[in-house]
Amino acid sequence: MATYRDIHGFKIQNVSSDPPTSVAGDVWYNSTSGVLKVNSGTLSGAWATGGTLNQSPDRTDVGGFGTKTAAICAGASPLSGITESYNGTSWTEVNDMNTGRTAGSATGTQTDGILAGGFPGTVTTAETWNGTNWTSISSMNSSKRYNNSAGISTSAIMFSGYRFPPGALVETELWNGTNWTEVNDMNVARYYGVGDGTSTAALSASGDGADNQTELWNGTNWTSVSNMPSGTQKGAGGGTTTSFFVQGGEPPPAGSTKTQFYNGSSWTEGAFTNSAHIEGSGAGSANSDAIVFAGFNKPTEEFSETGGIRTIDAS
Amino acid sequence: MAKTKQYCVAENWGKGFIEHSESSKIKFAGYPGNVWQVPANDKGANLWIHKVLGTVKTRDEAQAIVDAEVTAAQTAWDALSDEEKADSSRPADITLEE
Repeated sequence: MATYRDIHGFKIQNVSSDPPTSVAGDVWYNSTSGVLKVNSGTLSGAWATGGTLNQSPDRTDVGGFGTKTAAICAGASPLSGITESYNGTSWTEVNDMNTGRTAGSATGTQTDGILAGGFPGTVTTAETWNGTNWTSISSMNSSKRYNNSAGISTSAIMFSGYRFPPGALVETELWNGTNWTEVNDMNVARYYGVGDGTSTAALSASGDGADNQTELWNGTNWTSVSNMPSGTQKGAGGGTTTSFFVQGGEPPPAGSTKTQFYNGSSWTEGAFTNSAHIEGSGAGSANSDAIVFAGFNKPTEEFSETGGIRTIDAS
Repeated sequence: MAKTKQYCVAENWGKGFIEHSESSKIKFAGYPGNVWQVPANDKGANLWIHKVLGTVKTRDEAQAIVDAEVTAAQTAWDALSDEEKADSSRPADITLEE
């Protein structure tokens, strides 16, 4: 059998860090991390269908959080507290929220989440999720729906949203596990946006009017950062401040197949979903951990990245 | 002019219905009523329809299925309260491509 040296004329290089530039087919051993790596070509990706939600496929404006293999979908329009848990293959119905609602915002992990705000009317109530049950907690200072959120059950922020009057909101509220405190406002009032991250590092993108503005939260202040290539509203998404995605949304009511990824400094448009999505929810982050679900009779779809720098499993 | 799209009806069973390897090669578009649009005269698309046991439909047949679903959704939306209507958009008619 031909060896790597027979084919390429040189041995696999042993380097302490990944080379700053490489081309498709290059292989090297990273001695620092102790793994064999390959440049597997242009970074791209594709969406595939995932498990189907058990209850009412027409669930819109749900609260979604977690990852592609461990997600939670809670609440829905028409009003319900139905909660389902995803294991990467199928959805399983678990304990309902205490208060049926839609259009609130949820964030966290499959075993540590928080959901606040929503509809009917515009509510202040909030609940935390421990992987088994929802528990009602102190209400926010101000009511809001179509808000966004970042964090976990003991440390989270709820931001943006809608309440009439005044309409679109710039408010940010910080949850410390016991109380809600109003902290610094966003720069741009918005609702129908996408937000995620932690209570000290969050991102807010898109919003009503098919907005394309993005803001970064550093735990104290919001700062405007790079705009999205395409504005949208009622999209789904999530992630961190350096690996974030927004999928679907505008134009209503049909929705969009477009996906936009943020890497911490700039946005790029990525792979299209197989169905147009709107008013659903998302979890995970950019790269290979994104999932979208719910919305107007829409399938669950999971994103998988191909190409780029990959670790070779020689086992 | 040769058609560039074809339609089928296939129930989405979830995981594995459309795989990443298929999505990266085939341009899918999903519509209400389990109607799926894929490229015509495309081996990969034909194999996918076979895999999902899809029933091939003409564009007009597919349009009729979509219309029925949209009409039902519009009827349901019309029955909502004014407050609920204010928070959502009335499902719009969908016209499939030839």
